[in-house]
Amino acid sequence: MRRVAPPVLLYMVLIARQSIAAGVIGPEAGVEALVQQAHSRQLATHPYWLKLMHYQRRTLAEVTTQVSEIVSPEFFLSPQGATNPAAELAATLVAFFEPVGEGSDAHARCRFPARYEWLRKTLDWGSLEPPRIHCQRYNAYTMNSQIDSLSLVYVTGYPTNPASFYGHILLKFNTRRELVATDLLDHSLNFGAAIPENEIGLVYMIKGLFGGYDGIFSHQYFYTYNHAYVENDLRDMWEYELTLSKDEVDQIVSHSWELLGKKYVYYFFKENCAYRMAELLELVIDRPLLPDVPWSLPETVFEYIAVLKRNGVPVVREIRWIPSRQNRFRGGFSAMTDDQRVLTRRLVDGPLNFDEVGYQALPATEKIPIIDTLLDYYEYRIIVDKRNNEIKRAKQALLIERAGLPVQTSAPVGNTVFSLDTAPPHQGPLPSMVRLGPIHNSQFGTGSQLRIRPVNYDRLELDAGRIPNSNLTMFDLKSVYLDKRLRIRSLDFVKIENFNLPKTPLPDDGGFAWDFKVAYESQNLACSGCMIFNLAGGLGKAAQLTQHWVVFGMLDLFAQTPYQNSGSVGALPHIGLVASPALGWKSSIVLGRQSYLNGSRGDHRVVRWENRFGSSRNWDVRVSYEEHVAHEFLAAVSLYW
Amino acid sequence: MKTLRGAVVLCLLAMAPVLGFAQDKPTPEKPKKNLNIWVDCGLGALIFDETGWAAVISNVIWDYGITATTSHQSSPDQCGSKNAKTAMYIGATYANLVEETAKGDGKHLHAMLDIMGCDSPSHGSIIASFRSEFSHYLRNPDYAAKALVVKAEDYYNIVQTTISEGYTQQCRTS
Repeated sequence: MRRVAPPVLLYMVLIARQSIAAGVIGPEAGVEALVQQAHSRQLATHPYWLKLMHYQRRTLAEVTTQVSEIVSPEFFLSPQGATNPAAELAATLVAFFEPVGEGSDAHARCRFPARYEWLRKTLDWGSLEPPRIHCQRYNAYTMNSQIDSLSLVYVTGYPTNPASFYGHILLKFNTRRELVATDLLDHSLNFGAAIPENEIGLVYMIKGLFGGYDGIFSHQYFYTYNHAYVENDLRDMWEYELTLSKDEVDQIVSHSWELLGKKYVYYFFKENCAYRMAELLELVIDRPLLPDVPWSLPETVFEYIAVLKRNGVPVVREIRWIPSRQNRFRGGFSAMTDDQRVLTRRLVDGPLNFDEVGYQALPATEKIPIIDTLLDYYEYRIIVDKRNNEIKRAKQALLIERAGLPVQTSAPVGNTVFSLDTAPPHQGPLPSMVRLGPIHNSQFGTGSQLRIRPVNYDRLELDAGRIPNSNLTMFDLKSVYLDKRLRIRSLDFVKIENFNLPKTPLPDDGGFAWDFKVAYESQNLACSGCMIFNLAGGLGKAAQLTQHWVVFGMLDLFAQTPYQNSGSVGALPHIGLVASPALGWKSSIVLGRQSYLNGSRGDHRVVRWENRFGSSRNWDVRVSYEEHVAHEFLAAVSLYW
Repeated sequence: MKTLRGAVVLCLLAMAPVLGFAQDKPTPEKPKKNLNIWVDCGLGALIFDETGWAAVISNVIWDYGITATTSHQSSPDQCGSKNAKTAMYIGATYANLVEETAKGDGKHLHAMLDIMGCDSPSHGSIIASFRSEFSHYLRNPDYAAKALVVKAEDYYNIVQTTISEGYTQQCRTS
């Protein structure tokens, strides 16, 4: 049962606010009538008003109230506004008629333009006119209402920062190109946790998970994000331009202005950037852009929005790839002729002498793609190794060489035609999975296995829209029913594997393969009730033999809680192969030896052969063999959503 | 100290979208005598730390909105000028700018000239002019070893000189 403020309260608010401006407002009776009109039409319970105020229904002791998710007092014009939609609405209407002082930007009309526009459209204002006002800062934010369209921008995951594993979302305001030549000067909206500098990692994790940080909308020129993510972090961005009407664009822009700097409680898993951006767009898109689950993933918003249509028109007009500096040089290299590639390799392998390798004989049109690609390549190397002056000198030589060539732009790497086996995030693997199938264990006999994984993908899943052959999973729970007992086999809190493969033969493309795992798991396949906590990490190297065959070698070190004098630290060197022998079949073989450095100093062979059959995003069949003290066979069906 | 540096940088960054770039009638900016944008506005070492200021904002989200509101009141006018915005932009995108200057064209160059208030039809000839100057500058044997702050300031000066010597009518710079 929703509580609505009685008219008496509304008038108390009204009178209180009016008394502040007594003798200045003028048509007080008209404002009073406007408030009464809003009350009689029950606008305070209108879904749009509830969205504008970010109210959520809360029930306590069988009493239901509306409580705003915004915790900044300055977001509310009524002292009761955080919990009383009617009081806030009345206070808002009154505030619009307050006199305009010297700082007009601080006036309610300038601070809350979305509220004003909606109330203006929804109520009959008659001849009532609020004071004229010029909102200088708000007009600058909207580029004087010259924002044509919006783009939802996906920033790909950043495996070196746990907060960015699952990517990020920005909202870009596309200004009319007649006003600014490129999108670098478009305003862009961001949402994230306000984290103190030098926060300790563990504190960061705990506070992020349990609401210890404020979440805040902020805005910047797009070039700052482009530089931070694409140039500095070497992350790709994917821009999804939306087909919203001009009125819808204005609603989003004006409401985002109201939200700038206002504080929410930030939760890493749920109320994060994906959640808030989806919520903002749902102001005008009357469909949910995230499922009702305990977590919110950026890529899920793109998954939803990519297939959404309104009145038969797709919500997404165009998808544009903004490749990282690393992928730009890879794209440039892949677009070269074979002769250009050979020449490029010789230039890079030597001292970058343009006279020695037949380069000078080329026409300028063939030199330009080589030099432009090498400019990207050497800048990538500078980003990776900022203190290397030799690389900087090489880039200087390239700049001099390029400045002597004609003005001719190389074909841009990054447009609606995707290359480098890239695919937009909405084509990637579906994050949530359940897998069920029969299992045979040499120690315990035949039974079944159930595996549930909320997010995100394993090594064998479809490679589109992610780093191929990588693994990124969290809270991956594997349970088995064997020997008439249901038991947990493993719970991987987090497991990451990245081969870091090169895509060109140029030096320093790619790097060390690495993996990391935190798990609660069975000591081996032969024991029962032998659960341990395990922290493991490793380095190694992977090589791409062909497009479909990758080999790797790794050295993992681990620390665990001991089980029956097993030891608590050890190493697991292993080699492996990941291959796609046929369409719809992908296979991974790992051979290793687990050795303890203390305790019993025991060692065991570890073998894992897994196969995925099927090319669907929604399901696959898994067949695997595993050896770790005991042997185990599994055949299972996976469902993804 | 690092926090303060970050805050100042982000104040300046945050001011840029708010302080009138999109105003329909730009307020004429008063000439600034002897203003050294790199020193007076605290640009220089603040933004051109070799570790890259962008790393600061890439994973830590700051309250730009609040910062913009408060810094607007107290920052010197000069530091909200087109010159300061241009300098900030050059600092953030230096690598892209020099590559595009060597190539003779590119979106980062056009964005810079937009910030400087230069008419679109004049962009091509302005770029051609400072491309020539910059190619001489590139031949300095010390170029690679120079700190990024020095290179960026030099670049800024080359562009400003080019405009002041031949394109004042096309560009509404201070």
